[in-house]
Amino acid sequence: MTLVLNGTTGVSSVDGSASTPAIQGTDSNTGVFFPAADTVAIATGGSERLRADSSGNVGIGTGSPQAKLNSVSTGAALGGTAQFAVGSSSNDYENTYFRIDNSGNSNFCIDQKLSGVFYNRVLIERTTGNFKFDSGYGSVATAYGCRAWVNFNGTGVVAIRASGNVTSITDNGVGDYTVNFTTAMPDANYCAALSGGEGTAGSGGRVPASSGATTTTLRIQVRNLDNAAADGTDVLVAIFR
Amino acid sequence: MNQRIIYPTDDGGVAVIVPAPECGLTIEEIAAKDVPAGKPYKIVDVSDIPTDRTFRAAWEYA
Repeated sequence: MTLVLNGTTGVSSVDGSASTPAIQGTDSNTGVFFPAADTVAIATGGSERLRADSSGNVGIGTGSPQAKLNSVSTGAALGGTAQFAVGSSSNDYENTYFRIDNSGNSNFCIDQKLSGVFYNRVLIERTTGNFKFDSGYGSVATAYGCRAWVNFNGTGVVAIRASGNVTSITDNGVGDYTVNFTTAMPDANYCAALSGGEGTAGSGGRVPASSGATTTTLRIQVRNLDNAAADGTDVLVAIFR
Repeated sequence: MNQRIIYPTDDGGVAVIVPAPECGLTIEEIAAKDVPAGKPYKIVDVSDIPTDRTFRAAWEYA
């Protein structure tokens, strides 16, 4: 079937191309064309902009979409043309932008605009996997997470109050405990923040040192003010890496 | 968990493993993971563990 528009141009049996779409208006290089079997595309200014292929994938800026929606463009600088944006209005002051940056590393960025200025809020480094964000830091920085933590009572029948990434603690003796991690640390060079409340009335508690750090366990000791081993009522351990 | 895992230490004492309630592993899985390799161990009820730790260093594995 041929549909004639304006008496000259319309839908026909021809597939068209990006430069001469099969369906077009008064602009002859803008319209819809059919670049392959079971495939439809849209061109503006003689260039293909969007394609829906035979697999149901939709590409923007690509003729070979690799996902249900695949937006492709060269990396953008902060404030440049992002690959994707969402917002509550056409006013970009209210929008959030998702962008692959032009650093050469193709980092994934989430940006927001405030009072006319673009700010990078979140960045995931493609090469390292580092997750960076600005949450009161003053700039986007790597978020070093607490990899394990435990709060336990080392007196009486030793018991864990709460924990994360810890399967158990081992009571080795008075003021002597081992924290056993669920998921191992990447190495033993982590930072352990420790505190231990010692149970004997009238004396304070402290953790003078950690020892025996491995990727899977950390042995800690609780000492009183006389540097004698002592059970802690509130032994708190947090591992950062 | 109202259970503990005990095993003998190299100096003749006893170590007590206290499971983390939120870890998602069974007591047997914790024993397999956290008891040092080659050590015998027992799973005991928490009521079997002395509450008085005055002589903690004198506890023995039996």
